[in-house]
Amino acid sequence: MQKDGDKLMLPADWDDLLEKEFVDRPKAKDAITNWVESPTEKRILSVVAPPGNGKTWILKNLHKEWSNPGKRLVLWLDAPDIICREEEQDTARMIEPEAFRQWFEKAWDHAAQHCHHLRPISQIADFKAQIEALVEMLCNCNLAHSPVLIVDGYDEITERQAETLSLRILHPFLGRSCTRLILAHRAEWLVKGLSFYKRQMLLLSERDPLSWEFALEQFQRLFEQKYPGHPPRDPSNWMKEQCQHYRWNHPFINRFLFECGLKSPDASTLAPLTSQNFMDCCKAVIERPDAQGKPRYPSLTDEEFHLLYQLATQFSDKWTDTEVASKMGISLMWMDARFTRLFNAGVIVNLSPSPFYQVADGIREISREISIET
Amino acid sequence: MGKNPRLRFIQYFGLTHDPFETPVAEQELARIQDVFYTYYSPPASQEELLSRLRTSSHAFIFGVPGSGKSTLRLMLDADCRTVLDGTLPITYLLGEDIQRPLTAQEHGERLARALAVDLTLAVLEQFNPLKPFPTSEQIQSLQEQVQVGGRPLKRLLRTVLRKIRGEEQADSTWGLSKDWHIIGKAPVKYVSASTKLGELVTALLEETPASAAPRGWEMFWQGLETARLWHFTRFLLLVDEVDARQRETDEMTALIAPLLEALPQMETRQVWGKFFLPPELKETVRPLLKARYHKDLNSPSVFSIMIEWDEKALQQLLTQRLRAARPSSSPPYAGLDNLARAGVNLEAKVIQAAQGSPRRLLKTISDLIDIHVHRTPDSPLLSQEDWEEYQQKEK
Repeated sequence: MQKDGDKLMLPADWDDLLEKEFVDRPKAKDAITNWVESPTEKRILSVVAPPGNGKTWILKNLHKEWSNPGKRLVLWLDAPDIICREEEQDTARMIEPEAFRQWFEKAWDHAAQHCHHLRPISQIADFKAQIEALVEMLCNCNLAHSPVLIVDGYDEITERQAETLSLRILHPFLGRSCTRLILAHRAEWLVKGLSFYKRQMLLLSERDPLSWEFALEQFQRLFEQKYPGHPPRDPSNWMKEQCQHYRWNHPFINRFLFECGLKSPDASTLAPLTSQNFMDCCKAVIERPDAQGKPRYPSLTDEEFHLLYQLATQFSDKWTDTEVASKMGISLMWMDARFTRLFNAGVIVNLSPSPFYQVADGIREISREISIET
Repeated sequence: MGKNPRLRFIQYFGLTHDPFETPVAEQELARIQDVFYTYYSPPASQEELLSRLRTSSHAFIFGVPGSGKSTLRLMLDADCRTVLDGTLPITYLLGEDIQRPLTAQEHGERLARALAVDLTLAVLEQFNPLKPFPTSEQIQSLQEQVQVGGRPLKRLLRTVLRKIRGEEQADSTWGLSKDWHIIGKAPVKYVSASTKLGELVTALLEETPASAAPRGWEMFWQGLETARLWHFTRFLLLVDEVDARQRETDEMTALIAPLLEALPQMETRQVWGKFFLPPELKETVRPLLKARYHKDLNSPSVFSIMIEWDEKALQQLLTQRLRAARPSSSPPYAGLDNLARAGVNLEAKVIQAAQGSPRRLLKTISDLIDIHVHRTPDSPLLSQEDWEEYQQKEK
């Protein structure tokens, strides 16, 4: 991590770093593997969790495991990679032809390792025709396991972009019954354009809640990287002392705070966490860079950050928008506009289907660690 | 302020469209093609129904008007058109133009027309320029089907051709399939334009020399042979709108009797009837099936179900509609109470008033919105007073 004045800067390859420090989450992985290996009519699996809760982490790990030679054909698609992020209106221009070409070539090469008589596919035709042709050949190939497409970042593109991706890429992929699709997204994200297909939901925090042991293991990986060969150390006391509210159950936040602790000049001590650390962490969770190193969401304004702080510190864990509007003496319209920004950035989540909202797990607790003079 | 007050109400809540505008499936499909299918929210007991209906068996789905039979039929049609396994859905609507029970011959000819339309549509939807171009035998037999399909089908093909040639612009989201409305269908997938598809459509529009075409059921059976040439091996016949004109049980029974009589012949050709019927026909269909098909509604090879909705399912339906009408980038509404003043408990009230009917539920909410925007156009939230006025009007 680089330091810019007092501000902690995030490395551009954040996801990559997290991948190297992968701490196993066997329950979630077993559930996903079980779905992929069992016959089911629900050919889409939605892996659902708020931003930064480890969806990518688990799926990348499974992708690697499943892709071992002789195993299942698994294709990986990072949705923002092939979407023209600037194009929000003209659906014909939303998928980047060159990015698609590169992705498809890789996908075809990978598929050819599993299906030896795969014919080359002309790239003159549109995206949909190419995917359909590939899928038809794969389904006629009598593979031992269903080919799987894992789509990450589906909730990091706009609704219209997601619909275009669904109609031109995912829909044709599901057009034959031999395939399976895994989509990683937030709970409230409506999966558009795929409503004909039955979908299984896997709520990560219910299936595999993060434990204290997970955090300890995560710390050990970081510690070994920073002090190779040094005897391991137990950060339990430091973790308990530094946080009154945060329960060390969010992989991204854990890592951020451990990094702050490891700024200590020697291996035997961990630096105390400051209110500024918690504030930076809170902002970092929101801005988390994507695979290209770009922030996933623009940073919050001071006013938005203050609203987040109020929601986390002045309300119970679950609240309704009308309750907040009434207690804060503001109109629902005002609330809706601010909520939309916080909601969009994954900071507040709806406990769907219910009228209750909450500040996302982890962000709520670290916000409560911040001391702001009011 | 000159805007339609109902539209203002919808926009106030950040909804992209009015999810309560009409409670009739076909009307809704015509108005909001893009989101119609995201509304589908079956009661928990019917989650597996679509898969069951896709099996090779005859099926009878009973339900009162407004219970969602047509929505289910449209979903089944869309399901067959998106998950491809050689099944061709054929939508057969016994609509308002039918003034008397049809003869078997007339049924055969109407069925042949329905098949011609659905087959041509499926060929367009499944066309892939990367696959070998259709054979002359396939094209010639489909040309004949286009003649059977009639004027709307030809109009659709001409429109599609203009878009492929670039004379008109195709819809950027759905491509060519946005024009399916010409034949009363909604898009279920993106259909792209290509030179090869243009060649096929041009060929299909060529006039074929008049020949002695078969009549009645023979016309339908011949259509099935063409469909087989195009690699369709199984056919689901979706029979709906039996009560569109006639509500008398005898008349409705007489309308479908020739179809029940033809079930054994259909079965040998892999045609499986899926009948969407009003509940009163359950007792009249049973003896007909026994007499003409030697099977009962409870036989293993015949599937029947009565569509019923409980309060939880209706609540889920409301949530689903509000979610579909709200952009994903905004926090979703959990239910109708998000649109009402605190403490009114409007959702529970409208669900109770719906008495198990989704159509009644949607109609109630629609009426309530109209009352509200008329009564207090400048106040955004639905209120207890709106509900009381609605109740007064209903008395």
